[in-house]
Amino acid sequence: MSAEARRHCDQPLPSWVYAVVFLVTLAGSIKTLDVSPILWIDTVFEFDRVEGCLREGACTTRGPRASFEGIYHMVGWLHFWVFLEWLGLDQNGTHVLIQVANSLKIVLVMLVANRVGGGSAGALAPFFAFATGASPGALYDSSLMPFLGAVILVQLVAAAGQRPSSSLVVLAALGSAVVAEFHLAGVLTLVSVIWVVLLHPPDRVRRAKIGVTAFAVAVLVISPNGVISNLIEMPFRVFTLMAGLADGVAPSPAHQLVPFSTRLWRSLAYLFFLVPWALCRLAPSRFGSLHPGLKGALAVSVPLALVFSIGVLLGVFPAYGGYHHYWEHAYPAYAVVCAVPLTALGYALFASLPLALVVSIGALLGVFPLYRGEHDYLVNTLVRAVPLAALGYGLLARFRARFTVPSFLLRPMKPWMIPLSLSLVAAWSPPSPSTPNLHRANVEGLADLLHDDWRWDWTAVTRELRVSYKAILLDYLSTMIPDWQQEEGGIDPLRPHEPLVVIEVDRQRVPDPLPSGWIAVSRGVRFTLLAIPTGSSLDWGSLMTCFVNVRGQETCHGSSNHHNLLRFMDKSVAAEIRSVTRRVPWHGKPGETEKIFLPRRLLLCRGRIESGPPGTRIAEDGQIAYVSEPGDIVFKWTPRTQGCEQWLYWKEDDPFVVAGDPATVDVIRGLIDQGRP
Amino acid sequence: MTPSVATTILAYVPEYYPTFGAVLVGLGEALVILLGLGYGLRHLLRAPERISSE
Repeated sequence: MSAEARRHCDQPLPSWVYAVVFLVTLAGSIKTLDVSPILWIDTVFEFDRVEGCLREGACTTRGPRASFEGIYHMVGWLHFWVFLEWLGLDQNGTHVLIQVANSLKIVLVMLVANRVGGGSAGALAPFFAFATGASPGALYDSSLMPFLGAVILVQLVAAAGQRPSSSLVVLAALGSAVVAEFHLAGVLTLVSVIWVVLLHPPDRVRRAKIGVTAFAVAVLVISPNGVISNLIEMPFRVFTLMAGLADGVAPSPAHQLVPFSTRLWRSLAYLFFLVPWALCRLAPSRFGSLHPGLKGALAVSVPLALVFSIGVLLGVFPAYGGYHHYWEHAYPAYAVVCAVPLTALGYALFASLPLALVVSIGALLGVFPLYRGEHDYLVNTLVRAVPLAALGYGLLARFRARFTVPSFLLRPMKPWMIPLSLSLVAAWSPPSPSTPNLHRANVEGLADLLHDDWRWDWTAVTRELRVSYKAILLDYLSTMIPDWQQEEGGIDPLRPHEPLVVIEVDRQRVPDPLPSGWIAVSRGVRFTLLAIPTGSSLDWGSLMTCFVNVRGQETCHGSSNHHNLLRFMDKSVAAEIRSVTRRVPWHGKPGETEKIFLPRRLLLCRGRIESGPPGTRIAEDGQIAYVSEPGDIVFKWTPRTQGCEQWLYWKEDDPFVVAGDPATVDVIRGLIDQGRP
Repeated sequence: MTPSVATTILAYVPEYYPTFGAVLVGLGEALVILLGLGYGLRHLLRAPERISSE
């Protein structure tokens, strides 16, 4: 590509493009994630600490446990949340604020990529910046990490581009302390700061010491107890971990060590995003030199990539899935590291249309299928974008070179239009919640309905509600009405107790008019919460739950706390469970037929309807049954088999079962199957 | 570090902040992030444009 064409591609993005991308990102985020957060188990225990701080003045300086035994973190996030609550922001308000901040993150990523890679790189960068390993729509310590990562990125790219002032070094170090105190993974941003400071002589070591001191003081102020505890605990934990790995013991029951060849391949996948950068570095005469500011983006993303790569190789991190939320603060930098070199490669390689076509089609057909793994965000986005963006560049370049086009037609054609279109598509449809959790605002409506309007006691609520992730819902309900569990039972309800299926449905798909008896509990921006009496004769109050462990020993529980049996079970005991059986009596009248549906799409651990009384018809996949004779219906789950990973099945405590008259169940099934994932 | 030494050190470290302390820390964090963003942007926008050598 000629120098003139290169300059044309490097034209900076006009200001209005930033405004458009911000607005589309925010609109896409609100459309996808709503103005209310989803119910999330981490939110419950984190907000419990925030409440304890606000009500009792007991604000932890140690924080809750991290994913690693004996290590504590997240105090900075808890204090920040306390600050927001103190300002008067409730959870819904905080959720919206975080969406605004994370939309701003996209603009910051564009700005940085534009400065170090030109307009086309700036337009392409957002496409990569929507990657996430966290839980979109949930309000917890990882939610704000992408924005914090973008702030660190801005500072370190500026500092890498030219020697930073001491004040910028101190501010960046303080910022990295905040990131580290939001989530443990942020500790690596200190490495990023040191990396960038060491780039610029003179006085490199002295300035690095200043940064480290600022970081140390900040973390000690934010979480003195946590920092000291971790420093005391860390050597012992690392030694234990390494000793275990040396003996071939997996660091936790959540994952097993896989063969070395698999770990090697998976560990290399974490470094895959550096390939375009490496190519540019190897042949700068062909692809053009890279802006020194890019080192700032490398400084943020590479330490994390190396830790994950080495961690997977050693077996500290599982080879498949897990811990990807640790990447949240590094995704903005990752986006810049992808977009800038890719743009340079695009200019050089794809100026030839035939080459562009061959490489693009080859990449689409050959490489993409290799990386379809559910959690391979890093690789997936990269592999999708390379051929599309490159083809776009190539086509545009060839078009401009081959055809004589009137200047008034040519002028609006900017090289950044194609990557921008990719980014806008990504902005309009960002990652959505991977599980169909209810939204908090809708659950507030449910709490009002059950407690204030119907006066159901807690026992009835725990017995009658049929809903996915029931344990989390009950946590929220008990938080919203703190005295509910202590209130005396036996009060005459204003509406008789009856089985109630609770589901959230996209507003556009809510039946209009609602079938008789159905209740629209709450209508959110996108989802409506429906409460549906199904008239089921399954007696969940007489549920018997039995576990069989690896030694074949069976333990049965007939208590009413089925929604917490697995959740509060000792981890070592839970890890040994090989089957879970739930036996529920059906008390239907003679001649009555009830349909039972086990929604597969809503279950993380998929079970099946195992057996029923004589005359029960069960579908081959075990998801549907028709029962017409009184007797016990048996449901069964088999942990540690495909579709029922060990560490997820606790979410199926008191499982979501839809049962009732066949016509009603069919309508509910249709709503669930056509709905969210 | 022996457990007794660790316990001694931790005895001098506050286990909890009062609400006001936590609010101050939260406010401080917000200021650090906003100041860092502003200062970083200022430096970034004053840096040389794209064509340069690594």
